[in-house]
Amino acid sequence: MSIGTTGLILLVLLGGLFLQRVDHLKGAQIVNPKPAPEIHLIDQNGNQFRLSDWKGKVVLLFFGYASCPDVCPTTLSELRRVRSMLSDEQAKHVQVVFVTVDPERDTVERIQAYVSAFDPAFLGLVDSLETLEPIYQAYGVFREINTSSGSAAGYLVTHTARVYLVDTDGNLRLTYSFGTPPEDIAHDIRILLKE
Amino acid sequence: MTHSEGDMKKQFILLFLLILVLSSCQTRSAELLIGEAWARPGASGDNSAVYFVVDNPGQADALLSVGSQISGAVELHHSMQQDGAMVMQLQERIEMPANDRVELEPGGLHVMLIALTRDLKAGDTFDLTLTFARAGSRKVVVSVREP
Repeated sequence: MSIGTTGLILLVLLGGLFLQRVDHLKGAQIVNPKPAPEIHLIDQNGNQFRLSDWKGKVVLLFFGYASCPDVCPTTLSELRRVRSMLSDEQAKHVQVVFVTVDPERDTVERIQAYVSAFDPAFLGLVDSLETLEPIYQAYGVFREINTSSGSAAGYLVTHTARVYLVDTDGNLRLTYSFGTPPEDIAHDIRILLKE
Repeated sequence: MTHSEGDMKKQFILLFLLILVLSSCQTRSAELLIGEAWARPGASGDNSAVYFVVDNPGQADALLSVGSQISGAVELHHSMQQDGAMVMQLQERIEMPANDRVELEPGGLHVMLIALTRDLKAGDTFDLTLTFARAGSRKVVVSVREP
């Protein structure tokens, strides 16, 4: 094999490694990302929230409810860990948004107490079921009230437990299944903030 | 009694003692071992969850109920993925198979604390009583911490 051929092979291999390192996002990627469906709701401080106003930041969306004892607090704790893994500058460009799937019980006050216990920088969004339902549909969020659980908690809510990532251009870009290591989400955010 | 008969008797006694010691060790090691129990912080009136690991080196057992003064109600639940969504199901009991380990962990089996009677802050502790079908009641001290 000539020196030239060996050099070419090495170049291709190194190039492949480089490309893999740059482009290897860990979340489930959405093919041909489109602008994230608009979310216009009320935040925990009683202010209007519009997702389209948050361009320039990576938004991590999660749909859950304040009475949820396991999956929702686990996810919010992990999203707090994601922010703590980033530099201060990177963390400033990440907004965690928790959208209720239980508008009957999650009032502004309740969601305020709930999300701020995890991180005062998190936003919790509430509104009427009528306003929320088109948002659930647009994001493919399944939500079902389970009144026959037999639990003293009253009712439980079965819901999609994915985290949705909206990039700095406002495009719905990636999703993460429940239990994704926070390291993986932080890894993707570092890449996306460099774009 | 001949010399050799005396030796045999001694050997039998030693063997008997050895079996006694070994069997008592067996009883002790066959007890359920409950690993560090922890709960998530939460505000008074809200819900929380407790997680722990049970090692069962002996016969099959089952966790039947959990009690505590820390919340209005205490229930056994199982979070599981179903058609892409997370479902939580109340459990009447949690089986503890023989010679096996059962982990209560986030996103899986857990103890649900409904309507906390006080704020739970990181560093706090509280008592939880677990009732098993065979092992009976076992008290564990739960530490409150961030996951």
